This record gives sequence, structure tokens and C-alpha cells, in this order.
Amino acid sequence: MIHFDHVTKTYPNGTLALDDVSLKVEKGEFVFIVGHSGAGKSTLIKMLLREEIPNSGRVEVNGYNLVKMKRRQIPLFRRGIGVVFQDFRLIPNMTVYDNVAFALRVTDVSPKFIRRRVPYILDLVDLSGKAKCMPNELSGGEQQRVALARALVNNPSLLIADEPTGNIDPQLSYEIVDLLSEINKCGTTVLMVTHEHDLVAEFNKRVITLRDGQIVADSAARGRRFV
Amino acid sequence: MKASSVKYLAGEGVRNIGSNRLMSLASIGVLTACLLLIGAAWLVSINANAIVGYVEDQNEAMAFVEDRADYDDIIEIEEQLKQIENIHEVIYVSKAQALEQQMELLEENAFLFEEFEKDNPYPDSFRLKIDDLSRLAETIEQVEGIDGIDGTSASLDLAVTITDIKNGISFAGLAIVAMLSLVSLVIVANTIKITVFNRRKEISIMKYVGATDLFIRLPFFVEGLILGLISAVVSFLLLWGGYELLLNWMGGTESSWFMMAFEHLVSFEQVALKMLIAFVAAGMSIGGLGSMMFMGKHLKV
Repeated sequence: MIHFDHVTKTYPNGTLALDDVSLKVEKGEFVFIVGHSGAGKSTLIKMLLREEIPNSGRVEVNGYNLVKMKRRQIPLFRRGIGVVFQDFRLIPNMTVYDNVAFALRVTDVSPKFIRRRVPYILDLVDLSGKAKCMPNELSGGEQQRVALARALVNNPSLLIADEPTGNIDPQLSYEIVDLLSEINKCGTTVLMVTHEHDLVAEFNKRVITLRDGQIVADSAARGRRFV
Repeated sequence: MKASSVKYLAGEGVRNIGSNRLMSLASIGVLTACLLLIGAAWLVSINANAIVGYVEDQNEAMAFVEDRADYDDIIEIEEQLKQIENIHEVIYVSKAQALEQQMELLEENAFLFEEFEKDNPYPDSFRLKIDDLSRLAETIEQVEGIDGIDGTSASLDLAVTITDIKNGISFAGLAIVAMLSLVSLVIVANTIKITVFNRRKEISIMKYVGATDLFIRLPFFVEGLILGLISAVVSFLLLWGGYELLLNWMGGTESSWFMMAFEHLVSFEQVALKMLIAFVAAGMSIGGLGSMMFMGKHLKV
């Protein structure tokens, strides 16, 4: 699903963000990416979304070679990936329904399918009653669930969550990760970036630790606490 | 892209105008102000031209016929005069008419000319209305070349002056309109840049969910078209109203100069259609293209 092969990324200002990173994530895995700020987590995510390309090395995601990819192929590639951000990134002047529906509309599916699919997904994240609300009328946890619904509505094979719990209450964080875990059980590969060690410890999943642009630890972490 | 998608995106464009009310209003205001300035400059220029054109129309040349010409000769000469393309009207003035006109001018002293009635010294003549004054000299030469024409009278100096004024006004009008258009374009471009900048976050979110550039651009394009159309109509109506007010005011003043000018001003109805078409075309193309032009930078996510 994800394959980084000796990936190095240096920004024009000289910052070495990723230093010879090699990494493989198989289909159906659930992976936590942890590390301090500046460790290269954000660059890794940008790389996965083809927002940045590496200076050297190969990045393959969902069957696409992101280095050789042409600009006009990017939209199609991104439709196969769901993304959730720390700051939710909902479109402020669209209702909850429209925010979720938008991700479907860009794919040119029929309006009939949209009318069936969006309520189903909103029900999945327990927001059926809030379809007509605007994002600013919702709590942080609810907004994040809208973002999650939007990420899931296209039935992506890969779900990327960039510190999805960073802006919400701790108890709600567990709910979000639980939800991600459920989604993962249905076959979607999930990659979650976080720095909340408690969360990582609670869920026994594979953990990849980044430091100064390098992978310093990669563990299946089954049955043992992450230190 | 499916028809249902296009319909949705056009609807989004309309909706965006409402949800970005302040920015929409600012855009309409800027574009309207620019169109008003350009339109006003245009109106001034065509009116100045109309007044000069009126003066031009008053200018006539005279062609005098040789004394020995008989009736057939005169018919022949008239035919030849009519063939000269720069003359749009030929009016025959007989000896008798010429004398009569002179006597009318003398009013109570007309009896002084009664003597001439027996032996009229005035020649038969033609009054010639000239189309293009700038070619007057050339036309007079042609007239003098006709057999049976004894001489002509035309004010060549005046013709040159009027032609110069006309050209000057046309050039100044064009220059002002061009300059205002350029200034407007810069102002409108900046307004659109701010609008797009305000919504860069929205644009980047759309990119993240896999929207194509066209999908993101289309609502902005529709929005720009509509804002341009509204601006065009608003400025057109304002200009019309303002112009009518001005005409009313001029019609009501005592000033004889204004009265004279007023008679020859162009009525708004004469230019209305042309102006509306020009405004709508300018407004919509500026709005539509402008809103797309500055998105490139934000689409590279």
C-alpha cells in the first residue's frame, strides 16, 4: 500500500526533513507514526499526498509512483485516499452534508448515489442529526467526525490521519481512534500521526518512530507497551 | 464532467456570491466605478464629436456657373456635381433666387437692388454640402474642373480647423478610455486577488479531496461572470440616469451656449444598446477571466 524507498527530502531553505527513509506498509495495516515536532512527520504526510516530492528515492502509494506522477493525475490519486487533519479543514460556508458530499461530487458520481451515500456515512459517525449544521456550530469532536466522514465517503483504501486528536478532548480522542480502528477492521489501511503516547499505548498497533528525519524504531508492538 | 456536476458547480458559483457578501459587494463596487468612468469618458467624447459634426454640417461650398450657360448646360453641370462622391447634396440656386435672397437680407433697403431685377448680375449657382471636410480642397478642385463652372467659394481654413478639432477629440477620447481601462484592470485584478486569497484555504481543501482544477475554477468563473454582469447593468443604469439628469438640467438653463449645445447632444437611447453590449462584454470578461487568472498559485497544492 505504501512503499518508501530510500527517500530523502531537503527543503530549499536547507532543512533536512527526511533522511534516507525506507518504509513499507501493507494493505489492511493500522500504523501509528510518532515523533517530536520537527521529526519529519508532516513531510511524510505531504509526501503521501503528493504535496511534496522527494529529492531522491521512490514513493509508491496505492499503486501510484508519486515521483513520476503527472500533475493532472493527482486528483484521481487523491480520491483513493481519505485524509483527516488536526485542524479539521472543513469548508466553513458549507453545511455538514455539503462538506461530506463535496468529496463525492468531485468524483463525478450521480446525484442519486450522493443522496444515498452521504446520510449513510453521517450515520456511521453518529452525526445524522447535524447534517444541516454549519461547521462552526459543532464541537471540535463533532467537526473531526465530519472530517472523518468526508475522508470515508469515497470508500478509500488508505486513510491518513494527521494528529486527528490534537484539537479535541482526551476522552473523545479514544472515540476517534476507536472509530479508526473499526474502519481498519473493514479492510482500510490506516496511518495515524500522533504525539499522544497514551493513545498509542492503549491500542496495540504497529508504531513507527521518527527522529530527525530518520526512522529510529518500527515495531509491531503486539502485546507490549510503547516506551 | 457530467451535466449534473456542471449544474452543481454553477449553483455553487451563485451561492458563493451570497456567502461572500462583503467581497462580492466590493468587487461590484470597484467594477461599477471603473465602468462608470469609462462610460462617462465615452459619452463626453461622442457628444463633443456630435457638436463639432453639427458645425461641420453647416459648412457649404458654392459653385458658380458661367454666364453663357443655358438650361441644358445647367442640367448637365448638376448631373456632374452629383457624381462627385464627397458631395452629398447639390442645391440649385438660380440667378433670380440669388437676387431674391440678397434682397431679403437687405430688408427695408431692398429697394436699392430693384434696379438689378432687369439686369441681374448674380450668376446661377449651386450650393454644395460636403461629406468629409478634410477632403474639401480636393473636392473643390474636382468641382472647378467641370466645364461651365466659373468659380467656387469655400472656406478651406475653417475646414482644416474643424477637422483638426474632430481628430483631437477622437484621439483624446480614445486615450482617456484606454487609460481608464488600464487603471480599472489593475484595480479589478487586485480585488479579485484578495477574493481568491481569502478563500485559499477552501481551495486547498478541495484539492485534498481530489478535485480537479477545472472543478475548483468553474464556480469562481460563474461567480465572476455574474458579478461582472451585475456591475455592467448597475453602471449602465447609473450612467443613463445621470445623463438624463444632466440633459434635463441643460434643457432648463437660460445659457444660450448650453441651449445650442443641448440641441445637438446625442440622446442616450442612441448609444444605449451599444453601451450596454460593451459594458456587459467588458464586465463579464473581466469578472470571468479575472477570477480564474489568479487562482493558479493556490491550485498548486
